[in-house]
Amino acid sequence: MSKFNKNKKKKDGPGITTASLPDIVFMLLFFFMVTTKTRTNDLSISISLPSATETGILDDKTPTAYVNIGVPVKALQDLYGDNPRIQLNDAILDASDVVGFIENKRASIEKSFEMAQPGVGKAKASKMIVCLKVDQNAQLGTLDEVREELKTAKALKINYVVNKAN
Amino acid sequence: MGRRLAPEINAGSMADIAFLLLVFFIVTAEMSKEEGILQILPEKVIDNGPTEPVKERNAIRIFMNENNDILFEDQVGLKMSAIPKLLKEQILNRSGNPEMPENRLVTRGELQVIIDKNKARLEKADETKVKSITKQLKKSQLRLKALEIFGSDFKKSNHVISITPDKGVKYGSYIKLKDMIAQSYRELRSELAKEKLGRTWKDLTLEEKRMLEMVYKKNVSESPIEKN
Repeated sequence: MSKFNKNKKKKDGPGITTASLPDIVFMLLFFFMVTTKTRTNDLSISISLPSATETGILDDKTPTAYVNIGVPVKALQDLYGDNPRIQLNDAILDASDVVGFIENKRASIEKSFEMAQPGVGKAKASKMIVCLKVDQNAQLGTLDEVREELKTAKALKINYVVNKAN
Repeated sequence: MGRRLAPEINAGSMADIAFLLLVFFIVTAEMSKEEGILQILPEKVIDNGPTEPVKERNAIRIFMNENNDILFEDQVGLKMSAIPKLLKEQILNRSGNPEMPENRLVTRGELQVIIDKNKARLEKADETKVKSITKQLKKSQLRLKALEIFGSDFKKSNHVISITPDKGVKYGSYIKLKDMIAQSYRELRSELAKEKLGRTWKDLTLEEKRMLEMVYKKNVSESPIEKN
């Protein structure tokens, strides 16, 4: 036993302290928590996006609003039917609700930017891009209604979200 | 054994716990980057007042019905993939076909006039407008630079691509059509880049890309356009 102890003493250099490891990992953790956002909206409609080659990437500083169009999921078809519907935030709504939705979104964007830096809220809100996530099998009629409503709401910058194809 | 020291808490497993959390967040979170096709909608027309009519030869009309049949000008039974070739022909109109969109050479003089106008405006402008006018000035100067590089390839084309899909067209086909149109422009631009700059689109600088976008300016209309 004493021999064993002696051996150990000889080898023991200044060990690397792992006490700071948790700190490093926590830092990484916070970095991820801050830079990413979890998808909070559950889709009650199913959307399979079309793909395209000539696409651009939205930079993440641009404020966005999402409008989803697709057929309600199986469980909700009794309630909403099996025609393409519009989902705004969590609720399945009609095209006529789009204007209100856009105005609310603008107000909330303005408020959140105003808190960070007074005076920039309005400008940021006017830069808002409406991202349209539309099922590739949905007919254009619904999309057209939405676009008309967006024109009424003066939200003219839109972005059709697609998958990147090569 | 005198006084007993309080047992130290082993912090080694703290790292494991943090790692677990970290992995959880990496898996559930998604970077908010999204690929998409950008479009600026036209403003809502309130009083159906007179709009500027488009000459018949300048309008490139593409119709599409719910069976994905395409009518390109007068041609029917086309495949989607045939569109870029036809569009490129129409936009360039190298032969000067009177049925195809008209174009003319851009002159140094007219670009200089715009630059001078912007400069004059910048001098008179108040602080709130300086930024936007400077932007316009830079744009007009870039246009002049583009003329120097691309010379006689820099033409002002009056074409308007008008797409009219039926209400029953599937969204997937509609996006495909938009993509095909975007592809035509991209091909025009990269062909010119290869010819004049000897580089592919990927290797161009941002400025060069913007200049090429000026040379072949995208002009797509989705509302039915007036003809005379």
